[in-house]
Amino acid sequence: MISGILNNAAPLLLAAMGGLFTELAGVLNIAMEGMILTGAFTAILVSNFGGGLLTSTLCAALAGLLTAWVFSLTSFKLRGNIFITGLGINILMPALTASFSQKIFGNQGIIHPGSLRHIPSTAGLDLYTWGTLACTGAVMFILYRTYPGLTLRASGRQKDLLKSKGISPEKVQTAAVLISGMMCGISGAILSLRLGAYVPGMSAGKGWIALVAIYLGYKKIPGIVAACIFFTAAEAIANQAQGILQIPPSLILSFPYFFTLMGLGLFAILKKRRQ
Amino acid sequence: MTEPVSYSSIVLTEITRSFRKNGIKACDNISFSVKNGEILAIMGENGAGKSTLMHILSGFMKADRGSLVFPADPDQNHPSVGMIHQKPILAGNLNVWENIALGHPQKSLVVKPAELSSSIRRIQENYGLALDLSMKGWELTAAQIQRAELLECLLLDRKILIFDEPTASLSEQQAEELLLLLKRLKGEGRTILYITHKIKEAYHLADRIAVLRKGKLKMISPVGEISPEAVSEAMIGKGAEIPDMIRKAERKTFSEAVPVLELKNINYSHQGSIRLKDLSLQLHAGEILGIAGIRENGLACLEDLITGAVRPQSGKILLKGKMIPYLTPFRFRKHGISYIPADRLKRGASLDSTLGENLILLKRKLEGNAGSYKTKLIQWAKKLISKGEIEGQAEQKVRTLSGGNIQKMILVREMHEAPALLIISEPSWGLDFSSREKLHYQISNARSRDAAVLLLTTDIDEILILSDRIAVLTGGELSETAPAGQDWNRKTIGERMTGADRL
Repeated sequence: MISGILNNAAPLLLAAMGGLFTELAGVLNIAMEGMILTGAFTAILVSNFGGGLLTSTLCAALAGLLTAWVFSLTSFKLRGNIFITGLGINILMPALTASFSQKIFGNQGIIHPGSLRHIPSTAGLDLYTWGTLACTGAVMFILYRTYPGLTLRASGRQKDLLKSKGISPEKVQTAAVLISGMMCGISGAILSLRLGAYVPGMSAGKGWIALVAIYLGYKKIPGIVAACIFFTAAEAIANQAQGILQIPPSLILSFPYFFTLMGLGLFAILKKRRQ
Repeated sequence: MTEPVSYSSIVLTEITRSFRKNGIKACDNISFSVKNGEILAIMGENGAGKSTLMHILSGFMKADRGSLVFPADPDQNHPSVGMIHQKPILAGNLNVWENIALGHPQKSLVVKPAELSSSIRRIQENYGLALDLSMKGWELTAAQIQRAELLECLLLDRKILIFDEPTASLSEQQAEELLLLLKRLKGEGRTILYITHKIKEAYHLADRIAVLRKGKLKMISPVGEISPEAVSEAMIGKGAEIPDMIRKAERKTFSEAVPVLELKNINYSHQGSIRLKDLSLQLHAGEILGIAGIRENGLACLEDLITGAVRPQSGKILLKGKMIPYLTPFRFRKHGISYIPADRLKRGASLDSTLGENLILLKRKLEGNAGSYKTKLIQWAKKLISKGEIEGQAEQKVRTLSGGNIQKMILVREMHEAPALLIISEPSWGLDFSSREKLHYQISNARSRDAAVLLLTTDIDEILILSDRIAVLTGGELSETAPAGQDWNRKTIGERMTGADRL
């Protein structure tokens, strides 16, 4: 049960870690949803043409990076409104994957490659979960014990601060967006490679929920981990409850999102208390 | 200015920098050199170009023209310059040692907290700079932030230190400690540039004094060779003639009735440092009370207080004899007070709204019943635009107007309903000569209409031209109020403002 929740929390946590980078840099990264979906599609595409687990995951990371690059280019270089460009990415990526899917597989629905790779696992957690946990530790180290990490944490609000130290805030922001793109790409790969298929819209709001988890965890890693586990547990309960309770399944399936909303409300209350 | 280069730590030659926005030269052809191990006080009024010059020195800004040489430093890349800012620049979510680490040369990627904190502690013990390294940036007071910045500079062993009005946010005790520390740093052979408004401090501390005015270097001289009065005059400049228009406008004696605005024993302190001390004033209908001062030295604070942006810790505010517990911007407007702020862009205008929308801000209802709201608004705006001689269209975004036109817009909006109380702060900043004269005429006209006018300004000429009574605010304390001509003239006001009279 616990290992199951941890496994399911891995893609969300990985995306949240990526989002933490952008959040600390003062960028509202709402394009994560699109980045995750791109990763998911790319991973299946590559494994369909014979790519192994590692190759598929790396290609997904690359695809995420590319999406993030487009996002940062339009937002910083071309000075687009970050909300609009982010939404643009989220609308563009599903459409783009659908047209690629049509061209390559002849349909826009579920893509199910013939050969499925087995994902190795130990102690109930698979390779990706272990990788995500290791990555979480690494992010913690990078943010709190390296100079680039300090710079990133300092960069969010005070642009003059970085300028006075001779650092370009724009470069820090671009780097943060690219890193988040890579991590979201891998997060998508975990989703699709575990399922062994690509389903349109399979990111299912993970990019948004990751953003909520970041806020709910006060932008601190232990808090974010707890928030991700909380949301995943809520999802698991919703799935279980479908069979037991006499509530319309569509209502039960909205539980995680309902919990997200409650989480946001809780965050607002906690913040007010703190002040 | 002709000392041999080898003894200098900084040599500036014809440094010029203008701002793209308004084309005003913040630094105009400035040349001087700073000797190794000296303390140079840099003085000047607001907007004299001090900060811009220091930003150029610290490498934060580039000069448009001119050369900057650090003879003692082979790299020439501003690395030996450390700046202690007036406005705190530090990350609120990082603790003190992390903030200090940010500026540390990065030999490796990994931060070693133990090593770093022990070297910071060594400096703390050495210089007696007590500060808890684990405190977060947002928890620090202004004095503590200054300490953190100083620690960073000392950790990096900066040879040239720039202090931007360091005592402005300090208590007297803290200020004295800092000045002692500065002398010690000088003894170690460091060069110190010290920006200040306070002549007393400059004389107490510096070897030489440089005065900037309107972007130009007005004088630079050893402390022993110049009188405080001469420094004060260099800062403020020679007097201007009172224009005929205003001389003709009748200066009445005000009635001894109930004052329109009265402040009684106001005390206000912020983060432990006293900003306004036991301040009392009375403002009557039909007079202009001019308060001269330096903005950082209490004038800006008084503006905030009277307009309800901050609340005093003690004291009374009376409007037409009626006690008001404290003012808020809403109450302030409800009492029909008009306000022309010093910061026009942030407080006086909504930049992304149209000129018409800005002009209507104080009105709830529009006259006339013909046509839609929009046509009424435009009609109204057109009336005011021609009345205020604003060069702009009713539907134009205010952001696209020039600074002078924005000021005209604020003026016509605030004055057109003939307010009983008018609070004006730095009205002629950025205005050209003729707009300034027209503005002064309007203000004196308001007085003729029996309005009570409170004028807060750093511009001594403006005070002398307009005011019926004058008081000077220094270090949060208000002087006795006296009519112009009796106790107050250019010299006495200027010396009182800069504190030269208390040497």
